Amino acid sequence: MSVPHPVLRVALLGSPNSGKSALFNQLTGATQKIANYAGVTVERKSGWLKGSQGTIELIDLPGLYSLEQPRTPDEAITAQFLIGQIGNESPPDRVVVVLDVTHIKRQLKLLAYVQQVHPSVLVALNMMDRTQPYSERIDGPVLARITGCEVVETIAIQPGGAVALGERLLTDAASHRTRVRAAAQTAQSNQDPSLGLGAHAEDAKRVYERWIAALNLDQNVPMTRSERVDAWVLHPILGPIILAAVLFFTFQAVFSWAQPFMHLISAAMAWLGDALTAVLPTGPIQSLLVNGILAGAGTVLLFLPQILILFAFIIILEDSGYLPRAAFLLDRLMSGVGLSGRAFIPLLSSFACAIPGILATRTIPDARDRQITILIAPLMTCSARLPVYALLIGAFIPNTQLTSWGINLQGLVLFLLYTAGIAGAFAVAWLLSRFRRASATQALQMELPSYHWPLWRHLVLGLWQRTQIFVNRVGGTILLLMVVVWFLSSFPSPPPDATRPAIEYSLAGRLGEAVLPIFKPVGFGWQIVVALIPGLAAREVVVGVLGTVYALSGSATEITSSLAPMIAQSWSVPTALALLAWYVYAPQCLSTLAVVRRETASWRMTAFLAGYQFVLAYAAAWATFNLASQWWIAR
Amino acid sequence: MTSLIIQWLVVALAVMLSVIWLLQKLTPLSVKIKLAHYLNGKVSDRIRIWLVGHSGCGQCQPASVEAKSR
Repeated sequence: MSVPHPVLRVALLGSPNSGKSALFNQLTGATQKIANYAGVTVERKSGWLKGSQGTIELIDLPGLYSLEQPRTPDEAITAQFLIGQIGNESPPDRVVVVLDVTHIKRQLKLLAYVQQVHPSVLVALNMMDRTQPYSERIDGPVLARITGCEVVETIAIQPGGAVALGERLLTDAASHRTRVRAAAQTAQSNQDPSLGLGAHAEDAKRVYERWIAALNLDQNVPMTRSERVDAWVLHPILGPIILAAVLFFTFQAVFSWAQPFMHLISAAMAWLGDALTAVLPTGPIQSLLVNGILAGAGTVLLFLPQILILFAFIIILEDSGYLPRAAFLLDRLMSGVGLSGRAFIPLLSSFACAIPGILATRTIPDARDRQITILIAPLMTCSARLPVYALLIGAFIPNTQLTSWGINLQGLVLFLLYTAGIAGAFAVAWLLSRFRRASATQALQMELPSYHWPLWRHLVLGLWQRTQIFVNRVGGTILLLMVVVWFLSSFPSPPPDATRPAIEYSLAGRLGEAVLPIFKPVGFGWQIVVALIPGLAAREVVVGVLGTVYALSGSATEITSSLAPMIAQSWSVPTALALLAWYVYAPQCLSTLAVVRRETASWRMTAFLAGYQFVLAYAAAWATFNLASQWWIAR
Repeated sequence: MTSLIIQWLVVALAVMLSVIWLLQKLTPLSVKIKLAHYLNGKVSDRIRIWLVGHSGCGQCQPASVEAKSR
């Protein structure tokens, strides 16, 4: 891709949640690239704003609260970037400071500081559509008069809400290029690197206090609607109860609401299987398509509705502003087990997939805190586990209503499995934190955004992206694995005098039998063992492999839609519960281990993660199998 | 009989391609680059890139790939 030569380089700066990235996306469209600064684990995004007056390179920097004492690598890099102290890179020609008008009192502090270190500052006064406590006093012209900065009002989440800002920047590109660039370079040469940014602290503080007084922001203001809601949602007793209820409802919905859609997919798969069987002559191609691909990849696809319902809830909670509140509520619990408050976002990301969660630990400043978070992130229940949970729960847990007001047993078990993953992660974190040196606690600092109704656009886009990711996985790695598993499960053919099912004489059957002694104490049969091995590439493959293995064990007509009843007949309940317990803790994802190796640069750490998870999973499965067996016999 | 032989050939090709693509998907980039470098000169550039799924390091990258990246 060709990179345009920019007329101006403009940095977007602001506190987290101020709407910086939304503005960036509006101004640049989808043309953005990711660049890493050498030696540091911080990402910034660059994009291009093009107009007839020229091209502007927009740089979206990580959000930060203060330049005075950068606490994390991303804050330090942002500060150094502003004054041109990163390698040979020149400072930005202009800095756009994005201020959330609903939190202007706190965010003006950042503006006061940036104004001290950069001569060309433009303010984007964002979220002008929100009701805010200072709406009668603050607008663009007032803020411009008090601060002496150019101010443009924006609404980043509305289409066209950043047009004025884009036009202003492009006008600057045409008329002020020489002046702006010269001013920035002069400022850079005047910076004394030995003094650091702290040298401007006193001046910035004086300026900030003057602005606060001029804008009358030091007076008490009436509570906003968000603050009134927060009085309940963040209440020390009611808050955690509300959080537990929200999560509980989510898992109930995952099971209850997905059923009609799953039946539809299941019927479509069964129809396709019948059609292929009718059209294709009996032979290897029919077996590969029907028993291998359709029974394998098709079975995994069945769980798409449940994954989408789970993500719909996550997107709605995120968009409404509730998730940061959940972080706040869990902070006390997390610090109790020795976790940094900043670990919340990486752990939350791990519910989608551990890999982005592990990458998100880059924002944790303390190296030991970061290591612990990386080590426990794979214990959070990623979406790839959901098909396995859903299959086993659907097969073994009765679909009964526990109460007249709608608590479903299957949803309750799913909730408990997620809770078991979180409890396991916190227990491991607590244990690991016992062995580390004492260090200063990093308090959680997070801007709580105002509540607002989730946008349909965000929900639809988010779900579409999740669908694409899931379907790509099913159509990519999982499909290829199914072809290989079909081959291993079909060859060699059984001898003429064979008495057992053909698959037991195949390579997969023999491999399963060979590894079986390790897993026999936890109640697993050879079919499960065969499924666990390719499951290392992608967890949900286990469902597909079981589909293929059981399809090849039975007749071609009873596949795809009937895996759950088939395993319900073949396995004991203790075996199914043991497999669920195994999956809560198992180290079953090679991609995660590869990312851990890359992020920690340590094979020892990676081996420790895989080792402790294996031991934990084995112990949990063994205990579950034996306890359940005892209970089953005694019953 | 001919139909069955064709079916077996198609299935064998599907399995072989699946194994190659899977290995490419699951192999780390650094290993791919080393492997491409090792195969440099031993097989043609086209087969090397097709097999490994990477054009190799700066030393062994074919001129056509280098020109494209510029």
